[in-house]
Amino acid sequence: MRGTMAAGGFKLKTLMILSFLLTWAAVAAAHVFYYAVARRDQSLTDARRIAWREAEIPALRGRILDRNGIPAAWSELYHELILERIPDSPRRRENLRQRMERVLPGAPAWTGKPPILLKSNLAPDEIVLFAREFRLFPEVRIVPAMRRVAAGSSEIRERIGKTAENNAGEIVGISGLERKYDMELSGRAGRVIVMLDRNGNWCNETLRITRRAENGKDVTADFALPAGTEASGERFEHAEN
Amino acid sequence: MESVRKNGRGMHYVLCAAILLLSLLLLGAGRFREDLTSRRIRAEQTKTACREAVAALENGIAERYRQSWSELAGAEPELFLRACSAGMKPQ
Repeated sequence: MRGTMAAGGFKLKTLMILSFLLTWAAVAAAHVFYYAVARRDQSLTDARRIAWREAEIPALRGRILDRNGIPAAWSELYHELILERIPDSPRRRENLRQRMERVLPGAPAWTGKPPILLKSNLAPDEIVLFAREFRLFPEVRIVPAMRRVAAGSSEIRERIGKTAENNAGEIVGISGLERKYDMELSGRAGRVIVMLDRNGNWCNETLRITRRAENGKDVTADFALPAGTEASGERFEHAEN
Repeated sequence: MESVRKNGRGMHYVLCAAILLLSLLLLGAGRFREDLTSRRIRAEQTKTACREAVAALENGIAERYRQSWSELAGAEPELFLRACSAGMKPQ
């Protein structure tokens, strides 16, 4: 009699445990179905928004050459080290300050409102150094910029003309040959997509170039630069972006 | 005699299970190796694409930096591509 009751109790307990496991499995399966099928598109969109970023690879504007093939106007790519925002946490702020004193002695004080230019015209070895040293500080970024450089006398520079950034962030010629040959000189920026980690660093394994940058074409003008202009020519510069 | 026969049958099952487990492990290892190989190939392709993208910008680098740009960008193209890219926005 007691044995039958014990067996009945064991069966009941087994049934309860099995029911619990089955319910748990059903709920888990329902969740998997919900996220993998019903909310799939929404989940993917959310994931893309949170982790994936798209950036542009700049294209170089074509050069304007004189009739002898000597460059009279060209684009120069340079890099700046920028403090985009000051960290909110005092500890992080102190860490960044210490790192900056070590890596970049004589950097400007953080008195103004960010973004603060820390260093301009970075050399390639500085790009490597700062990218490594500030890897854990997304507040500090290396930012590319372009400038258009022209050589020759003021008359020649006037003939070459000027460029400016339009509303879409593209560099266009606004006067002289820069304007006349804008279509030929303009390149097409490339595009890259990448996943970011929580520090805003690129996960290089996820990097994908979706569109190659196409540099603008060179254009030959009908004037000739005076001898020796290339080496010691006057240069005027204006930032393109 | 009966128990020995039973034990022998039990051992067969254990042996079968062990072979099955080993096969699955080998299968898994094979797939892992395949995955590693394809990851390495993909990483190499990305590196080449980055190197080309960065090399295309070399003409825009000031002449005094061009030599070191060429060397360093060739060694770490992803880093330089990041330094050259702008307008980061959600996809």
